[in-house]
Amino acid sequence: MSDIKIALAGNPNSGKTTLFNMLTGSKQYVGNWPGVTVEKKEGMLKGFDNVIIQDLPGIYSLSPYSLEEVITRNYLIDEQPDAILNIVDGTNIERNLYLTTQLIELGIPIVVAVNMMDIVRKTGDKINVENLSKALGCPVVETSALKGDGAMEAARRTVAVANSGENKNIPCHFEGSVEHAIAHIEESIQSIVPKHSVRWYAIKIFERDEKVLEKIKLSPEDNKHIEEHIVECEREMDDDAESIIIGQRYAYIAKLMEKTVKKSNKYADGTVSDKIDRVLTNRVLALPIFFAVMYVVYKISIGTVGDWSVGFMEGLFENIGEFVSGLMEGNVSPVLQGLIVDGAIGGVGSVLTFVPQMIILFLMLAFLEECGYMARVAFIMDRIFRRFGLSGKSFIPMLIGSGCSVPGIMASRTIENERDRRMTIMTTSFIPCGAKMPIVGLIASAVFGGSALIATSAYFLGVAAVIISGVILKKTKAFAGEPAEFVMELPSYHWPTVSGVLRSTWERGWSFIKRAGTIILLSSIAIWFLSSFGFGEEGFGLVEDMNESVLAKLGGSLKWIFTPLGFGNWEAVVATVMGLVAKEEVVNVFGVLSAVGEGAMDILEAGGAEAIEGLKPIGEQFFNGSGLSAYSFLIFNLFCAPCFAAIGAIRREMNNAKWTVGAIVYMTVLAWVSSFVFYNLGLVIRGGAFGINAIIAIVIVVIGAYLLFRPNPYKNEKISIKYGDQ
Amino acid sequence: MGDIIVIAMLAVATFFAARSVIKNKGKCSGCSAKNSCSACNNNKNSIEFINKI
Repeated sequence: MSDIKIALAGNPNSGKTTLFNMLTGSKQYVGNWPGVTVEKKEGMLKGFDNVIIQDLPGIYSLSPYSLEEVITRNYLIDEQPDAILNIVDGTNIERNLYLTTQLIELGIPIVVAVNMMDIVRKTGDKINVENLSKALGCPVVETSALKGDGAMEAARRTVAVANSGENKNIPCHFEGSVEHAIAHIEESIQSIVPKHSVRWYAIKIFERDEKVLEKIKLSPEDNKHIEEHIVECEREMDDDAESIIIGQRYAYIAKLMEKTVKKSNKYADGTVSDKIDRVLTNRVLALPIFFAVMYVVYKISIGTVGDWSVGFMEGLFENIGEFVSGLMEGNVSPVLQGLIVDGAIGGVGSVLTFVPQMIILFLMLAFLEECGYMARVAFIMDRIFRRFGLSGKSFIPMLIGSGCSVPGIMASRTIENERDRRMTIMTTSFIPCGAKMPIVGLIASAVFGGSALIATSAYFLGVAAVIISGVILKKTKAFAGEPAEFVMELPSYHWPTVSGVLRSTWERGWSFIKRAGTIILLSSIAIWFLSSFGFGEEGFGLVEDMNESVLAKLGGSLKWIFTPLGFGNWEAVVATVMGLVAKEEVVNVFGVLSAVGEGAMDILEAGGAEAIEGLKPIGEQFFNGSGLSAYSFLIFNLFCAPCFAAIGAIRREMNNAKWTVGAIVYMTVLAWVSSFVFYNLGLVIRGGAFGINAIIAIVIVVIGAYLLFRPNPYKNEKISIKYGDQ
Repeated sequence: MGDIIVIAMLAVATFFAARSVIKNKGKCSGCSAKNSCSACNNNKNSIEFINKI
C-alpha cells in the first residue's frame, strides 16, 4: 500500500506543531508565538504504518510574502499531499477561515480541525461545527491540541477523506462578473494545470499572482484574453482584482460566521489576556516591566541559585578530584594525575559548575516563552526597533537565539525583506546565548560578587548593540529602506504545560551537559597539555612556570590586540580565541589554567565556605580583580564572532561568502571598539591618566555619534522583497 | 600498570568525545546533544528544500 501524505496547514500559532507532536509522537519545538516552524517536518501517524504527517510553517493565506510561507504554498501546490488537515484557531475563527476557503479551492481532500475549543468554550462562544461542515462541504472536527482532545479523530477523518479522492466542493462563490471572468480563465488554463486545482489557479491568475503566472506561462493570446476580462471586471467593481477577491472572500466568511458562530458577551470589556496586556504592553510601563522581569530571571538564576550552587558544585568537583587523586596516588605518574585532575576534571568541572544556574535560567525562559509573555516582548520591541529603523520581526530570531544562536540565525528566514534578514543574521548573536551565560556567571561571581545586574546588563547590552547596529547600518546603501511591517497576532496568555516547560529546559540543559563531556573535555585535555609543556632550558618538556608553556607563547603573540581593552594577559586571550570553538570554552580555559596554576589551591580551599568566594581567585588571577577589565572582557566576548557552529549557520543563511565574512568582521570590530571605549573611558572616569587611548576612545565615540545621528541619505529608498538567492 | 589503565581510559573517553564532535560538526548545541533539536528542528533536508524553491 502506498504512503498517504497528510499536510498540516493553518495560520501561525494555531497549534499545528502541538497537534503534530501529538499525532506522530514527535517532540518538535512548540513556541507560544507565531513563526516557530520555519521548515516542513515529517512524521508517521501513530497507529498507522503508511500515513505520513507533514507539519508546515503557518501561513495566513496562499499569497505568500515570507520565505516560510513560500515553503508551505509550494509544498501544497507542487508536492500535492493526499489530504490537508487544516488547523483553525477557534478563538480567531473569522480570520483563520480566510485560509480555509483558499485551501478548499486547491481541490485536495480536506478536513478542518477547529482547535483551541477548550478556550472557545471558556469564553462562552459557540461554534456550530455541523453547520460549518455543511457550509464548507468538508468534515469539521473540534480539537484541543493542548489537551489532546479530538486530535486522533481529526487525523482518522483526514485519512478517510484522503482515501476517498478529490474535493469537488467550492463553498466560496464570488459575484457574477467575477465568476464570469474566472470561468473564462478556467477555460483557458484547464489543459495546463491539474484538473482538481483549476479553480485555485484561475482565482490566482485573476489576482495577477506573479508566481503563478510565471509558473504556468500563458500564451500571449491567452494572456491578452484573460487580461481583458479582469480589466472589465475591475472597471465594473471599481477596485483592483486582488482587493475584489479579498473583499468578497471576507464577505462570504462574514455570512458563514452568522450561521455558525455565536459570540458571547462574557468578555465584552476584554478577556483576561486583554486586561493583562493593558499593563504589560502599556506604552510607558512595558519596557520597565520587561527590564524588571529579566532582572528577576537573572537575579534568581545567576544570583540566588548561583550563591549556593557555585560553592556546592565546586565542592562536588573538589571531592571528585580528591577522590580520583586518592585512587591514583602512588599508582599513576604525577603528570597523568595532573592531566586527569587539573585538565579533565578541572576543565569540565568549571563548565559544569554553572549547570544549576543554567537549568533555572532555561526553566524561567521556557515559562516566559510558553505563557505568551515573550510574544509580547517582540511586540514591545517592535515599537522601539521601528523608531530606529528595525522591525520587531527581527526580535523573534533573537528570542530563539537566547537558547542557541544557530536556530536563532535560522529563524531569520521569517523575514521577507532580504536587507532586514541579513541585518538580523548579523545581530542575532549579540543576545547572549546559553553558552555565553557561564561567561556572564563567571564574571559576575568572580569579580562582582554575584550581582544579578551584571547578567541583566549583558542581556540589555545585547539589545542595545542590536539597536545601535540597526541605526548605523540602516543608513548605509546595503541595508537602506523602510523596515518590514510586523504583523503579529498576540497569543492568549495561558499557563504553560509542565511537560512543555520541563522538556524545553531539559533539552537546553542536556545539550549544555553533553557539550561539557565532549568538546569541553577534548579542549580541556588540549589546554592542559599546551599549558603544561613548553620549551625550557633543557628543551621541550614539562614546564614549572606556566608562563613558559606553548599556550602562553601562542596567547602572548596575540595579546597586543587585547591589551588596549584591559585584558592583555595571555590567559584571557586564549580564553577569547577558544570561545570560537564553543563559548563555554572561555570558562573552561579559566578553569584549567587556574587549576594548573596557583589559583587552584585558593579555589579548592574557599569552595565550601563561601560560595562566591570560590571564584574570586579567578578574578584576581586573570583580571587583577579589576571590574573594568573583567566587564570589558565580557563585552568583547558577548559581541565578537560567535562559535564555529553559528558562523556555519551565518554562512548557510547568507548563502554568500562576502556577506558571511562581512558579518564576522562587523561583529568583531564592534566588539573591539565597544570594549576599547568602555575600558579606556572607564579608566578616565575612575581618575586614571588621560592618555592617547582615551583620546582615541573619544574620537570613536564622536564618530559613533555621527553615524547614529546623521540624516539618513537613503531615507526614501524603495526596497524590494526577494526570497533569498533562489 | 596504573598509567596504562589511565591512558587507556583517557583514550576511550577522547575517542568517543572526538567522534561525537566530528559527528555533530556545524550543528547547534541542541542538535548536537540530540539527533533532532526542537529549537531548529534540524531537518537535515531543510537547506536543500529551501534551495529547491
